[in-house]
Amino acid sequence: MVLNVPPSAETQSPLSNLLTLVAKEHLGEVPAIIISTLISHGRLTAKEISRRSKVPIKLVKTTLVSLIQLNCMLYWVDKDKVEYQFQDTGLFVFLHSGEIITHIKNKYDEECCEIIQNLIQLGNIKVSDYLKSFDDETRYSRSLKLSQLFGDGWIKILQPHDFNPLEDVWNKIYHETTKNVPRSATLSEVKRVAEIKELSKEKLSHLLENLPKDLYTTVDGMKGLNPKLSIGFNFKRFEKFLRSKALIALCESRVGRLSAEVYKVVLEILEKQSPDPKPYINEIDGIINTPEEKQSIFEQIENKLIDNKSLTAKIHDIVKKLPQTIDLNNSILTHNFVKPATIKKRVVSFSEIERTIKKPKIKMEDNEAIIEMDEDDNDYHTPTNGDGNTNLVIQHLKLLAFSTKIPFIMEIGNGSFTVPYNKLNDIVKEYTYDELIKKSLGVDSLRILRCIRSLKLVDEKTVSNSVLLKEKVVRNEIYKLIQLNVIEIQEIPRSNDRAASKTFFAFRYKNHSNYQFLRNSLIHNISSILHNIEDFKFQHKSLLEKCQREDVKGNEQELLLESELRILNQLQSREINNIGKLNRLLSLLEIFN
Amino acid sequence: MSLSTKANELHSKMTEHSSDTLFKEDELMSFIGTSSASDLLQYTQELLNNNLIKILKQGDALMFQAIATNEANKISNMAEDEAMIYSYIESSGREGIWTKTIKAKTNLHQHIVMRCLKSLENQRYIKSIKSVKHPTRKIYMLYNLQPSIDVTGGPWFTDSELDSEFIDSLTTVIWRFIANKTYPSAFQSPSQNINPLQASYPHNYTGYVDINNIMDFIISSKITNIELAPNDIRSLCDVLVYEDKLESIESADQYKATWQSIVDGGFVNIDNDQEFSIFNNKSENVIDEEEDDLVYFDSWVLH
Repeated sequence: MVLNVPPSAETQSPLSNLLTLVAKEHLGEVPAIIISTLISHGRLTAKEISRRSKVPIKLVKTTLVSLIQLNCMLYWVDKDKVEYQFQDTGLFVFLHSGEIITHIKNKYDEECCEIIQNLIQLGNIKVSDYLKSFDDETRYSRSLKLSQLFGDGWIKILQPHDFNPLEDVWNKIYHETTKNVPRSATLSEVKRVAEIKELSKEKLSHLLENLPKDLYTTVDGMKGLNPKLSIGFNFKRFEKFLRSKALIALCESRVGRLSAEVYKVVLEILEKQSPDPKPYINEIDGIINTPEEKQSIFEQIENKLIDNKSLTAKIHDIVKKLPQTIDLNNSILTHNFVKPATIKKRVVSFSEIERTIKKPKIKMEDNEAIIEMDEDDNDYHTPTNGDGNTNLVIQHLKLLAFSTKIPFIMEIGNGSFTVPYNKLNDIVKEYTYDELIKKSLGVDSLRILRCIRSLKLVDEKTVSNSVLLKEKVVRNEIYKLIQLNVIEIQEIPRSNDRAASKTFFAFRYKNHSNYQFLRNSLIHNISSILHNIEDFKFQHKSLLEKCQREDVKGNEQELLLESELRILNQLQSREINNIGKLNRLLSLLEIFN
Repeated sequence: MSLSTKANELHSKMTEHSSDTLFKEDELMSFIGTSSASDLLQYTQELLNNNLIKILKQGDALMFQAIATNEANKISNMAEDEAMIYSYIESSGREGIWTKTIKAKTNLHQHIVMRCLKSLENQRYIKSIKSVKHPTRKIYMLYNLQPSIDVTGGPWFTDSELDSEFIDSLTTVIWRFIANKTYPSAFQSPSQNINPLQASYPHNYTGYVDINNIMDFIISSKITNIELAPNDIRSLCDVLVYEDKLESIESADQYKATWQSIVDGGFVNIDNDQEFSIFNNKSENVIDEEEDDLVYFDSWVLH
């Protein structure tokens, strides 16, 4: 029986197209069919999946086990019925796997990289099962590395609720709490519901945030992860890394490259403890009802982290962790700076400044140095006194905090800094979106878009007066922007019959729908690239199969024709180019996801 | 033109004031030292007959305005139709008047209106102007007047067309001026005393520019002979803000250049080994590829 992914998988939504494609490539045809069925119909039992997808029930059940193992499926047992629900985390891990492995390799070592690679391949595994496959010596070092990766958040301990849909877990808790809070004459129903909600929230966060007891065991004096625990790769940790990457890129574009290097260090210090880019509370319907509530909950999470000092970076830590290769000298120049080309003799070297400034550096209570700027001194241009590097780092941190409209960092006193992740989230999206518009549609479009955004609701005439472009150009650009759903048209009728000739049209910008649209465009592009790779590989199927043959492997130079080698070379460079492009698009997609 | 002494005296007293002064009845009476309305009526009628005064209504009160003798002579020498058309054109001031409006107001035939306009234009009493708002209309105004900003469209219009080139070059000049004040070494060649990767002023730097600084710079550097008002400069700065080349510092009403604009301008060296980000990606960094492998940003829309 030949099973094929239904055409609906490709057409029902860009995301469905991408995910089934990834599933097909990494897992095979049957998982792709099951995933596509679940995307189309929502949650189903195994029997229903089999009926709708025409895949035999036995095959469905075995595939579901693998999919659950690989974080692509969730299940919920309701009385005697088991329902399955699709989860995209596992497939996104596959899409990012290259970058994840490269990052771990650069940050840690080959061994850590191998562990993460194994965890991505296996989905989840018991610590004892994983360590069993190695000899004693390797097992010892692997165990250490596992503890290290777990400590840094790259590995998570799996618990039963990780395999259940969060919304069902929440409903169960909510119903249980409702039963335990009886109706009474003294308590109004509104208050009761609010109380139940609060109690359920506490219970849920307790369930999700608390780790199981006995995390570590000590065997032969060596502390390691409890062998009974199941572990898996923590994709949320990687999302935090991607967020830092986007912030560093924005910082480099707004402040400068060296400040971005300092910022990178700050973000690295805070990354592990930083709030989740996609908090679980956001995934459950009904917990958050208004945007204000969402904002305040997100701020609460952040403030809690700042209050218990886990989201603060101290200056001496930043200075300590700044790579030696970064040279900050002569990067901050005072406004008394004189053009070196014209008056060379006035430029004083860093060491000379140190000699001439008699006054020692001012120390604050916590021994953090602050810069003393001598307004009357026209002769120096590098604000350094005393410990040059620390001062320069402070100057860069202050630049990050105050030099632009974007609060990259915030000083919370005593030489400590924090990053307002919540605020920055929207800012990164906006700037990246603008840059995309500038690079794809041109500066005129950007001019018009930002004008419409700042004036809220405007007509064509006002736009052309504000952006100083010819009406014809404005009309063309607005057409392009509308076609890409960047701006919306607001119809303002001027007569009772809403006659089109008298109606007046204004334009406005709404970021939520725009980002959604852009996300779909990016996902569509990513799928097209994957299709492309698949297509050109298919065109040269026979050659590629030939290369896979045992007798040809390793002896390609001798056994293949020159033209075949040339084609192989071309195919390889084409694939590399396409994967490069795919990763660029993925990095953009993660910003808007 | 023979005027009585009293009428002459009244006219000369009126012309002592500026030409657009409006006089009330009792003011005129005091000029000729009479309290009798009928006397005043006699003299004003005499002046009116000689086109030396104009009567206007302000609310319920009648007001008088003097007309200079040479102007009166000009009108007296005109034909009746010409004088009527001239008076409508005159009253339209710096806004000008459309030929169709003249026709409607005077109730004259098209041919007559055209003939009169031609004759007035030949004598250089009136001139035809182009309006930005209504480019197809033929609009006339007095020869010696300058069209109002509403008509010309302000400094951004040349011959009632938006002068994009002029705007672009001015914005570039302003951006460069501000960028120079925002970053110490934005346009300088590499030097030992400046870090090649980034050179910034400290966070408490106050040397950013405001509208007046830009005005002074434009005036002193004599970039343009067109007079620009602070508001014009502000609209240019707004355009630069929309282009993300400038950022306004709201607390001080000043502007600073964005670092991204310096990067986009090609004044910053971007290493090829730098990690991809949409901000530092230039067109030459585009992955070299085959036609078949191209994917388009808008392909989902056109799907």
